[in-house]
Amino acid sequence: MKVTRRDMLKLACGSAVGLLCTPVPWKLLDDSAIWTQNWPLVPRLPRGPITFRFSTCTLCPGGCALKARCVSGMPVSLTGVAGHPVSHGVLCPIGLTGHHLAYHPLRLRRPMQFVGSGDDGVLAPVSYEDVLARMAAALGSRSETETVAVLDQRPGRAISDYYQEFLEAVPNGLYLNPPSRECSTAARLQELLGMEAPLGMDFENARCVLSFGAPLLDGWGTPGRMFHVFNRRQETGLKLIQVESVQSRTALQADRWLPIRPGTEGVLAMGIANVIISEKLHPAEIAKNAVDFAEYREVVSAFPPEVVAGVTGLSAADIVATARQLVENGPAIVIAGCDPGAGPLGPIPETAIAGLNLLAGSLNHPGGFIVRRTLPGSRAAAAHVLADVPDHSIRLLLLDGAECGYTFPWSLVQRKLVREAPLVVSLSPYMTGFAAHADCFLPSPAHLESLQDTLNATDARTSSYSLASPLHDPVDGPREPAECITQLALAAGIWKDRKESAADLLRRRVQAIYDSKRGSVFCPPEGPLKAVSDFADADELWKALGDAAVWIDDDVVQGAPERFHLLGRLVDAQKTRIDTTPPHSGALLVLMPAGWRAALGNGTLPPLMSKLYQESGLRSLAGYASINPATGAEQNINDGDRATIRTGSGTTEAVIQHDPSVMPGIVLVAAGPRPNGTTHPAGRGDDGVLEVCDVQADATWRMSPASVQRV
Amino acid sequence: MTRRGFGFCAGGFGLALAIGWLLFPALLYKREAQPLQFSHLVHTGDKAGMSCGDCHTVGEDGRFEGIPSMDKCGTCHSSQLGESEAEKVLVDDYIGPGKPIPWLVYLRQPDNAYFPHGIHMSDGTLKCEQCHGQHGKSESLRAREVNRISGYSRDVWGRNMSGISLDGEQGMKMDRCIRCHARLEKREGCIACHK
Repeated sequence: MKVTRRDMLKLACGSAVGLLCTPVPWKLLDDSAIWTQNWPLVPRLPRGPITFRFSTCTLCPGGCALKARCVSGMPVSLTGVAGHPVSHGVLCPIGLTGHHLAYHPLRLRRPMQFVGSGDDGVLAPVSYEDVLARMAAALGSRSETETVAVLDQRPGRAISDYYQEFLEAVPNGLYLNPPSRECSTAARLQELLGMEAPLGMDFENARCVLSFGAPLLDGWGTPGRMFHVFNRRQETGLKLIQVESVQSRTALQADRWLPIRPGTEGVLAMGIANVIISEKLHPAEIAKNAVDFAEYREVVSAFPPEVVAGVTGLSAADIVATARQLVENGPAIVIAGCDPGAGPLGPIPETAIAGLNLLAGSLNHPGGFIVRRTLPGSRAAAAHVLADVPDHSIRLLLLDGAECGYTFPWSLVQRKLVREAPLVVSLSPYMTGFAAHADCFLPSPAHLESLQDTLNATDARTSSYSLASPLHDPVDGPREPAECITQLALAAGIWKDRKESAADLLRRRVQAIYDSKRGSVFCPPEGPLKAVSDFADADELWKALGDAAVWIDDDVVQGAPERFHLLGRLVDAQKTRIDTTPPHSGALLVLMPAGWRAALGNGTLPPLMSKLYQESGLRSLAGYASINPATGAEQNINDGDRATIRTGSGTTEAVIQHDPSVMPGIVLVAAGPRPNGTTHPAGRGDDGVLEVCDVQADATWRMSPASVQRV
Repeated sequence: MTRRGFGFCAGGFGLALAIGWLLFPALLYKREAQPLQFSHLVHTGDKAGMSCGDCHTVGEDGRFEGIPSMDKCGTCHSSQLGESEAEKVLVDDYIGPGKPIPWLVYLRQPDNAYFPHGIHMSDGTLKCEQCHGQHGKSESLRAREVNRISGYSRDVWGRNMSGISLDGEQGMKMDRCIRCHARLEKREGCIACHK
C-alpha cells in the first residue's frame, strides 16, 4: 500500500486530536511555567543547616536583644530573647523585620552625589576619595565664623565620642543632637539641679506616672521594659495618668486620660504645682532645698485650678485630683513627653513639668528619677542646641545614619546652613528621611551588617551596654563612619597619623568597662549574670559582648545636689508660652503632626512592614490625616476625602480619616512613613507635613493654625 | 472520508494516546533510587514498636525534623542489629563515618509555600496517615520520580498523569490543602501559607 501525503496529513490530524486528549500539552505547559521559576537568575532562599544567633537591635535607642534563626548562616527570622534583663523578650515590629533592611529599595552600597542643582539634581556614583576631597575642601575653605557640624541622632555610642574628638580638633566644630528625644524631662531636671549626671526613671518602683504626651506604651524607652512594668500594674498598684489631646494607644490603656487642649500642658503643670503648694502636699524639705521656692510659689499662684481649667479644657476637680494623686499615690514620675512626629513640648512647658518631680519629692528616691552612673569610658556629651546655632553658619554638615526614630523639620537644619554652597554629607546606609537632603552619600553598613554598640535607653534606671554583632555578611562598598572621620581628618591635616578603626573604638569602651570592675554581664539565652570582676581579662569580656551579651551596671544610686531650682527657665514664663491664653485660640483648626517611633527619623521601614500600614491601616502612612467626625461635619469633609491643608508655612494634601479619638478642632497628620518604606523618589527629601508646620521661636513645631478644604 | 483515511486518522489518534499516556510519563519522570533501603514496617511494627513521632519530631521552637538526624539513627544502629544488607550499608557507610544520608524527599514544596508541621499536629486532629497514607507501614522505599522539567517529585503532582484525583487525596498541591482546610473549616488568607 502506498502511503500518500494525504494519508500522512490524516495521521497527523488524528495524532493532533489524540494529543489533546493526553496530558502532554497541558503538562508541558504547566511544567514549563514551573521550570521558569527555577531559573538560576531567580533568587532562592538558601537551604541548609538551621542555626540560632544572638545580637542587639540598633534601630532605636531601646537596645532590645534579638535572636535570629539562620538558614545556611542567613538570618530568616528574628524574635526577642526571653528572660533578657533589658528587653524582657520583646522585639517591636520594626525590630522583628529589621533583617530585611539590608535589602531596602533605597539602600546605598557605594558613594553617590547629586550632580546639578536643586530639584534637577541627578544622583550619580562618585568615588569615596572624591567625596572626601570635597569635604576636606569645604573644611579648609571656611571663613572664621563658619562651622563644621555633625548631627548625631544616637548620642552616647563609641562613634559619638569619636565625632566629638574630631570636632574638638577642628576650629568651630559643632556636635549636634536632634531636638526631639525622650530625655527632655531629664535634661530640664539637670538644668534645675545644676548637674550633668544622667538621670534614669525608676518605673519598676513607681506608683504613679503622670505622662504629658509620652507614648509610654507605644514605643518609648525599651518597649519590653515598659510592657513588663505596666503589665504588672494590678499587683504593683502603678497608676498611669496620660495627658494628651488625642486618645492615643497609651491614653487608651492609661488609668486616667486627661484630654487637654493642645499647647496648654505647661499651664496644667503649673496648675498642679499650685494645688500641691497651696494644700502643702509637698515634702517639707522641698521648701528648704529649693533656693527659689518663694519666687516659684509666687509664679504658680497665678495658676489656680479654676483658671487652669478654663485654659486647658479640663475640669478643676480633675486638676486637683491629679495633683493629690501625684503626691498621695507616690512615688511618682512626671514626664514631659515628645511625640515622635510632633516633637518636644518646648523648654518652658518641659521645665514646668520637670519641676513637678522635684516638688513631689521624687528625686533620687525609689520610684522616681534616679541619678545613675555614667557608662565607664564614655564622655559627657557636650552637644550644642540646634536652635542656638547662628543661622547660615554651617559650611559642612555630616549626618550620622543611626536611627533615633524621631523626626523634625529639615528647615530647622536648613536655616543653619551657609547660603552659598553648603555641603551636606550623609553617612546613612539608606537614602531616606534626613539623608535624602544630603548632597553626597558615604553609606555605612546596613542594620545588622557590622559590629555596632548600643547603650541603655535614656530613661533606664541603670546604665547598660551591648554590642550588636553582625548577622549579614559584609558587603563591599559601605564604610564605617569612623573610617570616614579618620580619612577626613587626615586629608584635612587635622590628625597626623591616627588609625583607629570602628572596632578599636568599641574595644576602648569594653576595656573601660572591664577596668571599672563594675556591673555584671548577662549572656543569652539564659544568663546567669556574671560579675565583670569574674572575667579573666578584657578580651574575655569583649568576646562575651560580641556574642550579644549585655553589660548592666550595679544598681547604685549616685548622689544628687541637695539644693536646686524650681523656676529655671520659668523666669521667662511671662514672655513665652506659659500664659493663660490658649495658643491659637482664634484658629479654625490646629494641625499637629504625629508618628510612631522608629517609623520616622530616617524612615527606613523594612519592606515586610507593609502589613502594619498599607495592608491593614493600623497605622497611618504619610499623606493621611485624622480629624474628629464632628470636625469633619463642620468642615464638610467626609471620611476618605482628599483635602488641602493650609498653614502659614505652606500647603499639603492628605486623605482624611474620621477618627473620634482625635479632639475636635485638631487635624492630626501622619508625619511618616511613606508607602513601601520609600521616600521621595527623586531623592531630594520631601518632609511632607513637617514642611508646612510653623516653627516657633522655641524651635517647636507641634501646633500650627490650619485650614482644611476638600479637594 | 474513506475508510483508509479514517484508518490513518484513528491510527494517529491511537498513536498519540499511547505516546501521551504511556511513553510520555516514562520520559518525563526520572527515577532516582534512595541511597539506602529502609523499612518503615520493621520500625513501626511489632518488632520495634516505634511511632511516627519517635523519629519525625517537632522541636521546642516548632520546627519539624522530617528527616531524622544521624544521631537518631545512631542511637540504635551504632552497630548492626540485624543481618540485612541495607543496615550494613547504614552502619558502615553513614553512621560509622558520621556522614549524613542524602535521602530524597518525596514531597518537597516550592519555596513560596510555607507549611509548618507543628501547627498541623499540635492538637492531634490530623493524623500522619491523612497526608502521608500508609507510608509509615511501607516495607521499602520506592524510587523517587522527579519531573525532568519542573524538578518536582511526582508525588507532589499526583501519580495519576491526568492530575485528576477521584478521592481528592492524590498529590500534595494547593488544591488538596484547600479542600482539607474547607472540610475542617479552617479558612485562611493567602498570607498564611505564602508568607
